Amino acid sequence: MPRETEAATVTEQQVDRDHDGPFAVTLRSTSEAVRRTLALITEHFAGSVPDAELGMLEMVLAETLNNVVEHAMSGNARGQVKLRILCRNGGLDCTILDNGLPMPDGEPPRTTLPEIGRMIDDLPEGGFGWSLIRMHVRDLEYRRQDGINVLRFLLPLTEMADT
Amino acid sequence: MNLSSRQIGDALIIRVGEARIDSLIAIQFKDAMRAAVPDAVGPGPEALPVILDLAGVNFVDSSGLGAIVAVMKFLAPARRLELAALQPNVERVFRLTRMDGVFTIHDQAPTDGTQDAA
Repeated sequence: MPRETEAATVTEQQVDRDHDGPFAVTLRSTSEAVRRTLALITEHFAGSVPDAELGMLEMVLAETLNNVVEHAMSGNARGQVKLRILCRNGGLDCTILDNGLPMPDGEPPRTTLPEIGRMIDDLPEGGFGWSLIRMHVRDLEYRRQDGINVLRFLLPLTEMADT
Repeated sequence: MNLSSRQIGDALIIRVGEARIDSLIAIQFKDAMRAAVPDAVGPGPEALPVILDLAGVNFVDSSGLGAIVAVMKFLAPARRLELAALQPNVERVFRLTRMDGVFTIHDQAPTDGTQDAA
């Protein structure tokens, strides 16, 4: 068991910049690992992606990765998540793989923004995530393949050469 | 959770000393805000403002946004949560979710020298 714990710590986040394109990372399904991953991504794309669009990328990945941690893995920190980002098709082509539970309806939720009424007590405290994701990405695809969730989308960029 | 507060007139200014309010710390943030705001002595004629100074926060995700809304809800009606110094990525999340219409948003938190920088 100690060996396994050690290995889990070491593999918690492995940046692999040689395979599969400009950015690939494997992380454990924890909020801490998501935070560290976002910091790595911001560092990786700073300079090549304009600040505002980098902010959108960070937001979209925060929402998608935290959804995996909170829903697909439902708090199980031993799940594994893989993220790959390629620069192509006029944007950042993102793929997220995880070995958690499938999406309940076999597709990403088609939520719209929660209603905001005038009563403070009725203000929504959640339900923003998928709306924010869908506002920013296109070509959103989800499939379940051999027990793995595969989520893929393109974050269009105004200025970015294909690599 | 790093929060520091000071009173200026009727307003309690709470500065968030964390760079991110995200799903990792959303619950701690709510708890710390509850602890940082003294119990108001019942709803008076005017709700006393609590101004959350977000000058040092460069990222808020949907969990963080939900936590800020939750704080607004538990402070009401005796206290009114307002926001100050939204950084670009934070401002965008509030704007896109239309939560910018729910809060009074100041460009900067008031300082001792000036009354209100809204």
